[in-house]
Amino acid sequence: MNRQTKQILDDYEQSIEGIDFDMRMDLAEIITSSLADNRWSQVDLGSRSGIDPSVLSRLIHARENFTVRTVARIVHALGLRGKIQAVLPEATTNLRLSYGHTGVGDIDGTNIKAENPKRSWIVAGPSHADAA
Amino acid sequence: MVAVHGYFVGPDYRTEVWISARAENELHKYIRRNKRFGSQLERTIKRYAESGFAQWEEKGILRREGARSWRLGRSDLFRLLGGYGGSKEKFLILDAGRKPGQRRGRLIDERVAEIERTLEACDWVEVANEPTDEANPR
Repeated sequence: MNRQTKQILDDYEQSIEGIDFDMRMDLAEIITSSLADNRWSQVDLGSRSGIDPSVLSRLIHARENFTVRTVARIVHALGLRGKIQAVLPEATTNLRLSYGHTGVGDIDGTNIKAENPKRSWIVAGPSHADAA
Repeated sequence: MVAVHGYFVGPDYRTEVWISARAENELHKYIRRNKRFGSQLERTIKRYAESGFAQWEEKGILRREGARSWRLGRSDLFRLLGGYGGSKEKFLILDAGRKPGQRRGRLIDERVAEIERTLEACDWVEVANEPTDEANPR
């Protein structure tokens, strides 16, 4: 990779837009992972969450901006809780890994902390009812 | 035989991404010309690699193109073409290019046919990255 390309990618990753895009991808990952785990279609999740499937499709494509209310509807439909966390940039890979390898229901967000948070992150974990 | 080198490889990735020099060159040209969409495309591939491509089939920007071939592309006409290399744990990006319009066009048809042939015949080989490249560029 030449220096110019690498600089463009690094600049994007560190920009507000890059953080915004990563958070959209977080939600997209939560949606697609849970669709697979539950063997639901987008229509199924749409009917359970009250979100139009076309909006879900745009969320999966990371094209759609979303509100906290939208995230709440989705995680509620999945029987999960949502949490926004701010973590160090280098912590994001490990966070995604723990998500990707264990599935939506296994995240224990309380283990992920940052003393000097610089990046926001969305995670979904078991609801309090499930945890109990 | 198509030579591919590691792009997103290692324990961080549930699906490793290997890429041909031609496809990588086209991708990087695209990133330099379209900083925003190009960065988003590259980042999306990285995220797909981390979570595993299987999760995104026909859901995000990973769409089936032929019996074995898949395409990756965001909202404009630039497309990456490839397919799985034996298992869902390895994805090969073999070619890239810009669609002439909303329809695929003959050029893309020919490229997809060549990718189908390459994947069916396992006519690809993994090569080490050039010494000047980083093993994981991102």
